[in-house]
Amino acid sequence: MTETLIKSKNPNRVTSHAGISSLIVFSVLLMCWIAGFASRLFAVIRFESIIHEFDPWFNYRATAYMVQHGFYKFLNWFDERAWYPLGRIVGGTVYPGLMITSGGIHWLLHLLHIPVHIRDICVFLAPIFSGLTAISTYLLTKELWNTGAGLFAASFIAIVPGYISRSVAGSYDNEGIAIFALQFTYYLWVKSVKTGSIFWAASAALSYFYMVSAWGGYVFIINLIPLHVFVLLIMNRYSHRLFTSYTTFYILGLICSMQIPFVGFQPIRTSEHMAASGVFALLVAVGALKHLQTVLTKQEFKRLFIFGGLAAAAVVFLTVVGLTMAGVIAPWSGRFYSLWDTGYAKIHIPIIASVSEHQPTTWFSFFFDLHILVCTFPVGLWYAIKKINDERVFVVLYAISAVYFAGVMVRLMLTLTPVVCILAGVGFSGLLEVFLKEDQQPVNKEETENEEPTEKKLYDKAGKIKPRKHDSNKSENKGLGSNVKSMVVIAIMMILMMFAVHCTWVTSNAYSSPSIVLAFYNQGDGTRNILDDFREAYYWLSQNTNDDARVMSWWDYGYQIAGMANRTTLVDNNTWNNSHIALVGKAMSSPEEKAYEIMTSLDVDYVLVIFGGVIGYSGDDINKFLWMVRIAEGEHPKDIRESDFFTERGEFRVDNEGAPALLNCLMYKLSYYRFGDLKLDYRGPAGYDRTRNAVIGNKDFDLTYLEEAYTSEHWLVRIYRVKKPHEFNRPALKTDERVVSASEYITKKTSKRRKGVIKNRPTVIKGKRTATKEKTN
Amino acid sequence: MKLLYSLVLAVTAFLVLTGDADGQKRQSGGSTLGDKVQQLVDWNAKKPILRFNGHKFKEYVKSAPRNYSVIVMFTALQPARQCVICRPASDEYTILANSYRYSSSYTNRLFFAMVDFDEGSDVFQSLRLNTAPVFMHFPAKGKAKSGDTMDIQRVGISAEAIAKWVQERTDIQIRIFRPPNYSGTVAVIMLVAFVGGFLYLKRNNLEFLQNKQLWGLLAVLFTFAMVSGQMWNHIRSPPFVHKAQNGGISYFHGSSQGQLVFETYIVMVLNGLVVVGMILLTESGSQSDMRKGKLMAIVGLVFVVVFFSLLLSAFRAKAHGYPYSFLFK
Amino acid sequence: MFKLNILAFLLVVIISTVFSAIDVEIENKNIDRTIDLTSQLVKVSYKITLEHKSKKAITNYLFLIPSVDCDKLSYVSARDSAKKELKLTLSKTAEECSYSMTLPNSQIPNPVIYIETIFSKALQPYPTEITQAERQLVRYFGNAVFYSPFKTSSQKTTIHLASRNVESFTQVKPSVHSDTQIVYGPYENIPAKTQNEIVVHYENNSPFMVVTRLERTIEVSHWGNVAVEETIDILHSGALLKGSFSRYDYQKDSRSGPASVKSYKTILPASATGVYYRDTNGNISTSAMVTLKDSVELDLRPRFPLFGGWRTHYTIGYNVPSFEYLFHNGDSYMLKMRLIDHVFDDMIVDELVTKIILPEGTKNLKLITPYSVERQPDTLHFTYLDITGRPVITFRKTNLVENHINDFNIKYNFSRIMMLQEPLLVVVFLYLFFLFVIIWMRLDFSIIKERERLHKD
Repeated sequence: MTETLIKSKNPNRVTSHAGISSLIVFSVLLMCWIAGFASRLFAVIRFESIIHEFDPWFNYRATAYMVQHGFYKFLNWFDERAWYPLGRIVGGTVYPGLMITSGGIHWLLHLLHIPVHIRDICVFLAPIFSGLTAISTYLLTKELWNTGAGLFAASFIAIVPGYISRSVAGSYDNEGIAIFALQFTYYLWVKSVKTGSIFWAASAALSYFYMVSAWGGYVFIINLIPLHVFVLLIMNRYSHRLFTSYTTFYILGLICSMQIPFVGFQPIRTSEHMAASGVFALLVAVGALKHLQTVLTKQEFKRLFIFGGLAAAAVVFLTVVGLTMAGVIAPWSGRFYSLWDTGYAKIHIPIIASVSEHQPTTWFSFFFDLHILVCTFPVGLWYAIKKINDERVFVVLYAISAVYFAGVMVRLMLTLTPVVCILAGVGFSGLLEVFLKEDQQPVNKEETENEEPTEKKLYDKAGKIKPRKHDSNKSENKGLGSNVKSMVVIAIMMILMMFAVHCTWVTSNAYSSPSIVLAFYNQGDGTRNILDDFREAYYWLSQNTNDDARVMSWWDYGYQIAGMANRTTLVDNNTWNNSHIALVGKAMSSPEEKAYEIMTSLDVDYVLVIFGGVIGYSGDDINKFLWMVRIAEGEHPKDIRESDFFTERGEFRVDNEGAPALLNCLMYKLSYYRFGDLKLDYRGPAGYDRTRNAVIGNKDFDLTYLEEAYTSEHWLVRIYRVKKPHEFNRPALKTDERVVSASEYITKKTSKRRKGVIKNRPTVIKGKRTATKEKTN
Repeated sequence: MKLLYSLVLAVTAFLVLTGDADGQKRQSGGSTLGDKVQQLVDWNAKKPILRFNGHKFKEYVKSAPRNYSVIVMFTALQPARQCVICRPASDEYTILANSYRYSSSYTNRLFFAMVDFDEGSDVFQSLRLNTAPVFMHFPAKGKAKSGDTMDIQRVGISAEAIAKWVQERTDIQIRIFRPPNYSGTVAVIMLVAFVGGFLYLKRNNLEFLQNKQLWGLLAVLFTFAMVSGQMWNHIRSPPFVHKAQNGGISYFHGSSQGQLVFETYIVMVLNGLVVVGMILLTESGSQSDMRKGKLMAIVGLVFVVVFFSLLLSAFRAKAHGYPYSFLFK
Repeated sequence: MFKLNILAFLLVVIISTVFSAIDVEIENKNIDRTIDLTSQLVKVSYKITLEHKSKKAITNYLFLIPSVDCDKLSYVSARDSAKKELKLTLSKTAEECSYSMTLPNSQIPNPVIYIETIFSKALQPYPTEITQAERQLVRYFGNAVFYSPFKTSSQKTTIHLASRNVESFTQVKPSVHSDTQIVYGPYENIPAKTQNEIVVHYENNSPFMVVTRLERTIEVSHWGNVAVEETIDILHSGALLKGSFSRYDYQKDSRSGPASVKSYKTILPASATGVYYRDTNGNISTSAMVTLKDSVELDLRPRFPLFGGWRTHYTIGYNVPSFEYLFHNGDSYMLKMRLIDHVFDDMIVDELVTKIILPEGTKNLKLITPYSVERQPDTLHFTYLDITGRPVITFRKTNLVENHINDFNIKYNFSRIMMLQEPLLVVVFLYLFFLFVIIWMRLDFSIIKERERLHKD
C-alpha cells in the first residue's frame, strides 16, 4: 500500500496522458510485486532457503524427480519408496500443475545456461507467483470497476496475510500458484462475459485447465461461474455474449479438465460438477426459447414456455437424481457436504472435525488475516450492488459464496482474500476519489495522480457511470472544504499505514517458520539457538543406513523421511490407505514383542519416533499417540482399546499413575528409553518430561527386540534399529510361540484387511480419505 | 455352605414344579432360563428397548440364572427431573437398539433395556446411582467390572460411541442405521413454497425485487454475520457470556481460539458502523447541499476512525503481545 | 616346462638389470629411523649416512620398500645433506619397489640422505569392532631393521606412539619401551635385504578418518573472483561401532566414545570470504569460523558425531580475490592455486578430482602440476550468459596426504575484449525489450475499435 503512494509521487508534475498513466500503473504493479516478494522472505532471511514443513517436501521430491527423469516418467511414476510394501502411484494421484510449473521454469533457466538449483526455484515459486496474483487481481478489478480500484486491490493482495499465510517462501504448495490461476481465470471469464468473444472464453478455459492441474479448489470455479450465469438468467440479463462465453468455456474447460489423470472422469461423474452441466443445459434451453420467441406468436410461445420449460426442467432434474441414485454420479464427498450442512462434520467425520484447518472461523482470525479490509469490503459490495451490471453480479456472488465458505472452514479464508481485496479496493478508491479531487494539500497529490489516469481511461470506456457523476459533482466537491478533506485523507492514510504494518507483523510472527528447523531465543540475552535435530537425524539415516532400509514412523514424518533421508517409508502424509496406517498405529501401541511380530511381517529395519520431552517440544509422538491408538482401534478393535490407555479417571498421563498399557507400549518405550536416567537440571528429578510436566512412570526398562541406533542432539528424533531374529536371545518357549503367532498373524492381517474395508466405513475410511484430499490439495 | 447349596436346589426344584402348574407364578417368582429368554424375546419383538421397572429389573437382570448379557440405560425422562441430556441420550440409545434389533447380528444373547428413575428408583438406590443417564452392561456371567459402566464424559453419547462400547464389552458388533432425517429438506421445501406463494400474491408489483438497496442490505448483513463468526457460534455453540474470575461478567473470550456470542454481536455492530461511516464519507461527495455533505463527511470520518480503533483494541485484547493500536489502547 | 624356463630367465634378467646399478661397495654406515605412529598415518623418516668402502664418490643410491607396503605408500621424498630435494625414479619388481636417486657429485666422504615416507592405512584397528565406551586399539606391522639393498653397519629405530598404553610389541633384542616410544636397536652389521617382522599393538584414539572422495572445483572469473567449492565424502575408518549408539552416555561424560570424531578443523586461505558449509538438506548450522592472520580456520562439526564405519558428505565453498592467484602479462595469464587443500590434520584422501573452470574464450592452455596426475579429457561448462561455454580442466589422483598440498599452474591466453561480451548481451536484450514495450503500448492491434468491443451496462 505505502509503496503505491510513494511510488506514484514522482510523475507528479508531469501532465497526465496515456503514457504517464500506463507508466504509473506499471510502476505501481512492479512495486506490488517487489513488496509482496520481499514480505514473504522472512523465513529465508532468518533461516535459509529451505522447504517448509510436510507436504511441500513431497512436492519438492516429486518436482526433483520430474526434473531428473522427465515429464512422462513422472506421470507413470510408481514410488516404491513410499507405503512399503504397497508402493504408491504418484503420477495419477497428484495435481501436477505445481511440479510442471517449477519444472518448466527450471528447464527454461537451464536453457539459458542459468544454473539455479531446483530447490531454490521451489522455495521462491510462491513469492514470485504472488506478484502475478497481484497483477491478475489488478486486471480483474479493472474489468469490474476502474484502474484506481485495481491498483488498490493489487497492493492489498500483495501483502495481505490471508494470502501470505499460504505463499511464504519455502511453503511450496499448490495454493501458492492456485490463487493466481483462480484470479486469472476469473479475469478472463469477466472479460469474455463483457466482450462475448470466443477468444477470451477459450483463454478462460485454458486458464481453468491450469487451475485444475494445480489445485483441488478448481471446484470453486466450476461452481461459481455457472452460478453467475444462472443468476444472470434469473435477472433476465441473458445475452448472446453470455451464451457464447459460457458454452465455449464450459465445453473447452470440461474437455481440458478431464485430461488431468487425477481428475479423470470426475467432471461428469461427481455431483460437485453437476451444477455446471445443468446450467449449460438451462442456458441452451433459454437460448432456444429466446430464438423461438422471435418466430412464434405470443400465445403459442407462452404455452410452449410453460409446458416445454417445466417438462425440460423436470427431465433434467430427474435424470440427475436418477443418475445419482444409480451411482453413476457420485454423491457429494464428505468434505464438500460438510460445507453445506455445517453440523455434518462434527457428528459423522471426526477426522475432518479434528484437522485444525477444517475448524470454523472466529471473527478474530478474520481480522487477523484481513485487518481493515474485513470492515471495508462490505462497502465495495454495497456499491457493486448499487451500480450493478453483468460482471459485478459475478463479483457479488464471488464475495458472498467465498465469505460463507471462509466462515465454515478456516483454510477457505484463502479463497475469500482475493475478493475482499478487490471490494476493499473498490471502496477505498471510491472514497478517495471524492476527497482527492481538485486539492492543494501535497499529501493528496499523491493519490490524485493515482486516480487521474483512471478518469482518463474511463473516458474512452463507454458505459461507466462513475466518471460522469464525478464531473457533474466537481463543482459541489469544492464545498466540502479543504481541511475536512485533508483530515479525511490523512485519517485514511494512517489506517492504511496501520494495515501495512499489521501485515508485516503478522507475516513475520505467525506465518514464517519452517517447522523443520526450530529456533528459540534465550530469555537472558536475545541470542538465538537453532534446534536442527530433524535434519540431523534424517541426514544420519541417509548416510549411515542401507539404501533400501525401511523406516517405520508415524505418517506425519513420511514425506520428510522420503525427502530428506531418502529412505523407504511405510506410511506418509498422503494417507490413502487407512488399514496400513492402522497397522503402524497398532505396532506403536502394542507391547514390544507383539510390535516385533508386526514389524518383522512388514520387514521394518528402523523405527523413528519424535520425542520432545527434553526440550519441551509439544508436537511430539506421545502427544499424538492417542490418534495412533484410535486409528489402530478402528481397524483392530480386538487388540487395541483406547480405554486401556486411560487411567480409571479417564486421564492420559505418562507418570507412574498412567495406564499400564501405555507404560509398556512400544511408543512409550522408544520415546523414554534411558530417559529415566537423564537429569535435565540439578534440582529436578531424573526423567522429568518437560512437555507433559511429569516424571515418567516406567523408568528402568530395557529393549529386547530393538536397539538405539541414533538419537539427535536434543533427543528430538530417536531412531531404533530392529534386531534380526538371531541378534537377540529370546527365551526358548518364545520361539514356538512366535511360529504360532506369526501364522495366526497372517490370517489376522488378511481378515483385518477385509474388515478394514467393510467395517466402520463412514467414520474412519472416509475421514482418512478426506484427510488425504486435504493433504494433497 | 452345603446347606445353602441344598436350599438353592430345593428352591429351584420347587419353582420348576410349580412353574408349569401355575402360569401366574412365572411373573411373580423367579423363572427358568428358557422362559426368561423367551419372555424377553417376545417383548423385544414388540419394542427394541425393554422398559424395566424395579421388579422386572431384579428378575431379569439381577437374579441368576442368566446366559444373556443386558445393556441397561438408567435415565430420568420425566420433564420434572429436568435432565436435559437424557432425551438425546435415549434417542441415540433407541437408534442403537433399533439397528441391533433389525440387524443380522441379532441374537438372544444381548438385550437392550432401560430403567426410568420414576419407575425404578429403588434400582437407582440399590446401584447407588445418583446421576443420569448411565449406561451399564450386565455380563452374562461374572460380576460387573469397572469398564461395564460407560464413560459418557469421554466417549459421549452418540449411538456410534455406545455401539463401540457395547462391542468392547460383548463382542457383538452393531452397525448404526440412522433413520434419515427429512426435517431439513422439509423446511427448505416449505420456505420455497412460502416465498413462491408470496411472490405469486404480489405478482402484479414485483419491482421491489429490483430494489438494489434491499439486496445490497441483505448481502452486507450476510457478510457481517459471517465475518463476525456467527458460523462458529452455530457449530460450536459457545456460551453467551462468561463468568469472570472476579465474579463480574466478561463479554470477551480471553484467548484468540474461542469467542463468546455477545462478543460476536459487538464485533458485528462495530463492523457495521465502520461500513456506514465509509459509505457516508463516499456519499458526502455527491451531496448537492454543501453543509449536509460536510456534516456527512465529518460524521463518517468519526465513525470510521472511532469504531475501527475500538475494533482494533478488541482484537488487541485477544491477541496477546500485539503491538499496534489506534486512538484507544 | 619350457615356459617356466623362459619365465625364470626373464626374472633373472630383470633382477640383474635392476641391481646392475648397485654398487656393492656402498654401505649404510649409520641409519637413524623414526616411525611416527601418533596419528592414523605412519610417517617414517630416515637419516642415512653412507660410506663407500673404496672411498669412491657415491653417485646414486637405491631406496627399497617391500612390496607389501608399496600400495600403502602415499608419499616419499629424499633430501641430501644440503637439504636439497633429490629426484626419485621408481621401478617396481615382484618383491619390492625401488626408488633410485642420484646424489650430487660431491666429494664428501660420508654423504647423508634424509628420506621421508608416509604410509596411509598401514595401521589396522584390532579388535575391528568396539562398543561406544571402548578405546581404539590398532596394530602396526613393520620391520625391525631397515630394508636396504646394501649392508648396514649400524642402525637404530625409534617408534613414537599415540599413547603410553601398549598391548604388545615384538621383542627384538635390544628393544625397550619407555612411556610413549619404543626403541629398536642399535643393531650392528645387518646384511642386505634383511627383514625382521615386528608388530606393535597399542592404543590410538586419534581420528581415523578417510576422505573417500574429494571433488574440488575452481571457477575463475576475470572480474576479480575465484570461487572454490569442495564436495567431500568422509568415512570413519577406525574400529567399527559395535552395538547401539546411546546419546545418553555420549552426553553424560565428554570422554565417552573416545574414538569418535565430534569435530575437526579445516584451514582455508586467509583471504577466503563468503564461506558456506552445507549438505543436501541445507545449511549445517553447527560450525564456527575463526579468522587468523594467515588463514581462516573452520571448526566443522558434522551433523552427527562420526563413529567407526559412519560416513558423512558435505560441500564447503568460499571465494578468494583473483589478484592473489591470477597473474597476467598482456593477454597471457597464469593461475597458481593449490591442487588440493587442507581438510583436516593428518588427512588421507583416497580419490581427488580437481576441476578448473576457466573463463569463456580462453585459448591454448597448459597445465603444470607438482607431481604426476591423471588428466581427464577437457569438457565445457555453461553458466550465466555463456554461448560457447567455458573450458574445464579435470584431473584426478588417488591416495594423497597433507604433503601433497602444493600449487599447480595453468597458463592460458585470454583477450580482454571477451569480458565485455556478457554485459553487452544484457544491454542489448534490455534495449530490445523496452523498444518492444514502447511499440506495443503505442499501437493498437485490435481489428475493431475499442468502443464497439465494450457493451453498454
